[in-house]
Amino acid sequence: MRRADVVGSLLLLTISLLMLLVVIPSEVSDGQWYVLSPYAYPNAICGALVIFSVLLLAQALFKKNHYEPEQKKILSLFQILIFVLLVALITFGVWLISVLGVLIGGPILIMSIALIMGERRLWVLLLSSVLPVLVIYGLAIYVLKTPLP
Amino acid sequence: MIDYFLAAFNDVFTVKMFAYIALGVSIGYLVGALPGMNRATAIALLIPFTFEMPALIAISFLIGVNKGGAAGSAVSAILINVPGEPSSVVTTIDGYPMTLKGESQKALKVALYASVIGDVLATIALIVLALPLAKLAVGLGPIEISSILIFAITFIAAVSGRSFYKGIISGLFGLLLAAIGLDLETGLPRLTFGFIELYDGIPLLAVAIGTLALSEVLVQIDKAWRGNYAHKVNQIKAPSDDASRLSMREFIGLLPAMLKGTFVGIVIGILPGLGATLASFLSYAWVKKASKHPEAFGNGAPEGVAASESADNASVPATLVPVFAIGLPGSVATALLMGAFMMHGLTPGPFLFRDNNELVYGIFLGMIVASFMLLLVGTIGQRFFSRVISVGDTVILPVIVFLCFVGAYLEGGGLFGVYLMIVFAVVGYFMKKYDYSFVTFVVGYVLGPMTELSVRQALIISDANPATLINHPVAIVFLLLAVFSVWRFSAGNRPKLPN
Repeated sequence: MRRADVVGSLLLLTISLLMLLVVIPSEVSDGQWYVLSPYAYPNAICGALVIFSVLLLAQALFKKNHYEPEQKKILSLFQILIFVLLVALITFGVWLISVLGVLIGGPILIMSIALIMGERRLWVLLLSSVLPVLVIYGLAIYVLKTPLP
Repeated sequence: MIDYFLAAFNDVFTVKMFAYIALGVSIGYLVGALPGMNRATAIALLIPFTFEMPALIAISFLIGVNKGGAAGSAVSAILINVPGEPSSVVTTIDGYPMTLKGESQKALKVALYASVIGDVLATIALIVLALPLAKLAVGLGPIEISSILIFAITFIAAVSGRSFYKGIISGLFGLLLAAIGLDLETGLPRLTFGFIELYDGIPLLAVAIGTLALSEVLVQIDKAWRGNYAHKVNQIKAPSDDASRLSMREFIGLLPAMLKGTFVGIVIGILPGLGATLASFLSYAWVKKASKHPEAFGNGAPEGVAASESADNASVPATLVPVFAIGLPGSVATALLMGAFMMHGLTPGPFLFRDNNELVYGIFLGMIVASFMLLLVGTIGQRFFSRVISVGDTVILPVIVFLCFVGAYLEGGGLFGVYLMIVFAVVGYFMKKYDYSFVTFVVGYVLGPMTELSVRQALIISDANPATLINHPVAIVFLLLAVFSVWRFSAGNRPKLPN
């Protein structure tokens, strides 16, 4: 975890500094204020983030005995690939639902995740993808009276 | 107090209310029984389905889910040695050996009765403690509230997770996210990146469902792929009739362990951030130490199951004490419940008793009903829940992904909310993998607006002059406690938990 903490703290430090120096000055609208400038609160939080990121970095670099013996790898390349694939699949599924609607896109999303996970029984695939979508769709439309795409 | 209960009686003792509480407890039990899924996830996914319900039913339903989840997590811990929630890790120590001895049904009964006893007594403690504490809290001004919030976030960061720095970074990240939206004073957009959808802030459910539910699904799919999750249901020895029974004598013999667990659960539950896991560990250690046969622990001692499960369930109502008293959530589940309160137009905290007295006592009554419903659902559904854990991940996880979509969509953000949820799922996945505290993050996010408001008010009152703190001893105490937490729990000074 030590190496992960070094990378993580550097990443956090970069993000916090970017927030302080670039994002907050450009993304906070200035207006008439009396007590606290609109920049003050997010600046204070990001300032604290910078401090604690540096402390985390210092701990990871200089306090080796704080850490257990280094594990092989927190995330392997294979895991990262699976993760990226899954996120891409879910994002595509959401886009599909927005285009085709929940009644068609929903079962496709569920079925494709189940297929990727190794489910091959056709009846399980059909039942687990169609039934929940119908139940939830009915619940949203008729009970909650909220339209779904 | 009796008058308030009588006034709420008619609202609570209706078929509809009982049906929703039973449904909530059953769903919670089911989710708790499934390894890897937890009650906070269930609450996040179910909040959107409560939008059309009256506030009393909605909150009681969600509390039912919370209670059911705490009790249900023992099922997989006992049957397959995989705790449904971290707080049931301790239950595996004696629960699973009981299963191996053919006493699985007996272990499940001990866990259920311990859960119910812990739950009922802690609910009574909540009812007794919340109002006096709320009366005290009414006298607190913005300066005191600011210092309490600073202490709470620091303390939760200090005690949750393995690293104080990561905890505090998570809390700050939550506070920063809560700052997105319209500025309180100027009314102009702040960090919205031109998205009108962000003017009201980032939707709570997009954050909660993304970081809690969807990220957890991603982790579970990852585990399922790598085969870390082999269910061992088929290897369980079939219980004999004798081994299934829990006699009255045995039950009475287990009562001291249950009461000790309940006491620990209540005390630990009230303190923000400590959580049910620590409660069940401490309770188990206490009961083992006090036992005449400590050598039996770890080899299937029912007292071990009773101690951990009573503490686990007792901590559920106890975590609501600071929510009702000062509007301070101490766990992810209570932070989400607090979010549900706000979505139903209620502000948790001392003024809830003043403004919605009948509702508060209605919720208390609903909680007692939920405790007994827990007994009913657990007793009737014991064998059903035992079988549910054998349902494959390939069926459950894809459906949960779809539920995440619906949950994020229903909050009102539409597809924007859904895409935000996916972003937070990615964030949550890496937070989980690299041990950044979820509790502090969610608590920071939920408390963000309140923190900013009270800090602003405190600055106005004090004219931004720190010297005025001298007139606010309560604030000084909490600020000193915050500093102490930082010193005590930061690198090198962190105390070790008992083995």
